[in-house]
Amino acid sequence: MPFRRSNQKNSLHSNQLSSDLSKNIHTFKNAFEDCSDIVYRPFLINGERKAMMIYFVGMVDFAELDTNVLSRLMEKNESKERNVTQWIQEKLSVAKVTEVTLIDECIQEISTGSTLLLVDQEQIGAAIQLVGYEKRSIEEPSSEQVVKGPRDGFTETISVNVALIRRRIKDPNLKMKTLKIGRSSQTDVSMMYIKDLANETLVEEVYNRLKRIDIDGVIETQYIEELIEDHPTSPFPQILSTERPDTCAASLLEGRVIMLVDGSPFVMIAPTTLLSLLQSSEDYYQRYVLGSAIRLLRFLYVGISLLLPSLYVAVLSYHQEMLPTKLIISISTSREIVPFPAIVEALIMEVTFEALREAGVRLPKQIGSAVSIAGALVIGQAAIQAGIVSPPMVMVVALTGIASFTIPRYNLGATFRLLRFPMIVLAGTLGILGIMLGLLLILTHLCTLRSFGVPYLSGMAPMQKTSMKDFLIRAPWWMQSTRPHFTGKYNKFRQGPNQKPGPQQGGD
Amino acid sequence: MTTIRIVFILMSCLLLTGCWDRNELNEIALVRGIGIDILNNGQIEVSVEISVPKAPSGSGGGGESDGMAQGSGGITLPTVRTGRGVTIPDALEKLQEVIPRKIFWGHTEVIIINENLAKTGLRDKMDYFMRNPRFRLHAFVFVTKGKAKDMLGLETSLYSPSEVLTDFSEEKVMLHVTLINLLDMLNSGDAAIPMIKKVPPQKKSKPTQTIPFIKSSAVFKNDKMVGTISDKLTRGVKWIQNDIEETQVTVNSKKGEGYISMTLLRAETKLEPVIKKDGKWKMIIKARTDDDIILNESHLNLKDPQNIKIVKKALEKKLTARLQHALDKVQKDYKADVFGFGEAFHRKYPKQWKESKDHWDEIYPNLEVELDIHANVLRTGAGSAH
Repeated sequence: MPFRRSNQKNSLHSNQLSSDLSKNIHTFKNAFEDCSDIVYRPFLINGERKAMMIYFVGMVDFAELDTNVLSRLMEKNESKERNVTQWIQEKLSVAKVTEVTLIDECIQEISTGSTLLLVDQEQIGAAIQLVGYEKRSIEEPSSEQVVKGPRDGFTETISVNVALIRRRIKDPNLKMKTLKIGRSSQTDVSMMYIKDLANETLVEEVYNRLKRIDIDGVIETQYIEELIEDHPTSPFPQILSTERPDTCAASLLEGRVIMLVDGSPFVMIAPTTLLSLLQSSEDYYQRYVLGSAIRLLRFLYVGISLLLPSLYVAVLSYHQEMLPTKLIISISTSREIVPFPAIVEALIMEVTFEALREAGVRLPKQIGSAVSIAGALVIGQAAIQAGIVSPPMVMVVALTGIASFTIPRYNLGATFRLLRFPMIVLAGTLGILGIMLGLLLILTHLCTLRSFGVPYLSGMAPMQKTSMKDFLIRAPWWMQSTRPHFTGKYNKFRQGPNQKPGPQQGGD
Repeated sequence: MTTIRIVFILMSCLLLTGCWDRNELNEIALVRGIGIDILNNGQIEVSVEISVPKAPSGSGGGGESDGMAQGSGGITLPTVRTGRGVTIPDALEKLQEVIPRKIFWGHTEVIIINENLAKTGLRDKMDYFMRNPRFRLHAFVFVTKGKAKDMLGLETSLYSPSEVLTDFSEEKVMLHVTLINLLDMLNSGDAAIPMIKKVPPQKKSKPTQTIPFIKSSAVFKNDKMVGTISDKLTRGVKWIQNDIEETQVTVNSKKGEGYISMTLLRAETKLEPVIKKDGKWKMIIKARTDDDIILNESHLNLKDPQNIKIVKKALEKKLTARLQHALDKVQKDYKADVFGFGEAFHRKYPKQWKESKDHWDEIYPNLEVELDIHANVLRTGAGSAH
């Protein structure tokens, strides 16, 4: 089906199934021409009526199909005449069977792994869902690890992922809407929310944005993310993706909407604010004092990851009086033989660091460690001894690298890492003035951003008193009695009054 | 498309204009100290101590294992260069001619002024340092009897002479005057600036192999140096200026027949100007101090509160004498208001001050000063050898 620049959808197979089995088979053989993995299995129901099963090898559970479908239908012990509906009701001991009448529907069902049962003289087919393809088991999420907290992570199978969330929120108000997106991929995309907690307009908006997507295939959540976000040109991620079901459950309880995509272990959460991107799930699983301290540390290092190299360049090229005398002298001795200006030195080192990071991620594990050793040697020692870079610069770059990895969301860390290059150029051309200009630009941009109508900086701007309890510090749970407020009406309280524990509070 | 165009134009603005006032660290000469001398022909000679970074020796020799340490090391050699001219900026221009790198003033820590120059008046000379925004207003100012250039050229072993002087100033045992303090003092009264001298070199070493130290203080009347006061008197001045931080006082009480030393914990001095009903001006100096006894060579049993009172009295007497001595010398002899008496009157009696401001030079030497000193002995020490 070619994509046209008009809204016409071509529908070749929107016809009904015919009552002639051989005609139907002919239609399907045409549709699935040159698909060598398709199986047509003719058999006789009750030993007399011709029937046909169509399925793809590898997507069907053979054992189940044999015992619960084939053998039961082929039993030759009664003479009662039945139609398909009756066969489904009385004979097929399979949990999920749907009746299909359109050829289009049939093709879709076969493609998604169902087995299509066609019976001669019947205009109704049965799609038996005995999907049995190989899938990964639940493992610890590799991109978001915690010391304390649940260890299960999403898999590539949407049904498993939904179950992981349902297991955490056993509430009939947890609603789910599913769409199929992608003309060829026919990917299941589900949105989940808790009725009464999530704003109705938000739910509607998410659904509408998902519905307007018209694309050939959805392989990963990023496809969807880029097609539904508010500011497609911004470097900042406006939708949070996570591998952790616990993060999703917590977000649902805050009134957010989550979106699952079949085939990807990542789940998107919307609306997203900058603050929520800077929060790690472990902030909530450790004691609040530690959680708050780690959060403060993280804010400090966000600043370092964005600014340290540019500040270093600015101070060394323009504002030498800003450092203590002894420090500047010690830096100047170590920089004496470096032939490059500070900005060039910084750019060389930062680019090398990014290359090392990228190589380390992409390479197979066995080679990856070799790269990091070679990188450390090349940068740390050889470059200094050769007099190409100075030791303080190596320290600055290393510290910046570490700082960017303290940001819990990889994509936000990457944004800050990226932004630091224009900041270095600004620092090298305009000094501290340039850094301030850059910061102003970033800040203004952040103020204009919205994620599904919610200001990206909400919590800070507009400032909310209640959200201060979950901003720089993480207040203890008994103090966080309200949900974060996004827009419009919301279900304010999340716990009963007087939750602060104490010796007097227990049951006598 | 328009966005790309705007970004392109903005980027060009940044990159094409270049970095006109960029000074790479490798291209500047960090000045640590300045010495200002006056020559016999009236010319000004300005000397600067600059840190010349010695490039690290590279990877040769020391083996691979400590290559990092070697590479990052490297030392700076203090070097003194001199320029002459009719004014300071004039001399500095000549100075730049003999220094290959751009002189960077942001890290100037000390300014040493020759005594002869100080006697001709500081205000005109200091004007340059105040006007030029590139100087650090927190540089320490000193006066020296000999040539300032020689002080900067001393071969101190570990640090440079400027660093030594900075460390001495930060100890705060003697006066410590920064450029901004000096400006304040010149504007509101008279100044006192620490005077430096060479520590006598050890016998076998060259005469330049030694360090400078703060020996006494130079007293200025208006902006001209009028004399010096010894370290002992300087401490008295510091008491009155409420600037005393760490000191030991040793008293000798008649009754105990021996010395008792005390260390100062807290000291606070307040100036209370009074204009009496008959129109006479008077200054009350209220000093309060808490001390600990650190040595007792006398016969006094310090466990007895009566004896503590005796020690207290002796301490008060000693302090009064010390302050009086400083007052006599500075107020009566030099007639210099380095204590800020005028400023105190100005604050409390702005109207009367306005009327008598012009006669302050006559009022000040004859101003009645009352010393009101209270000392407290807090602790008698951890133990006792008696």
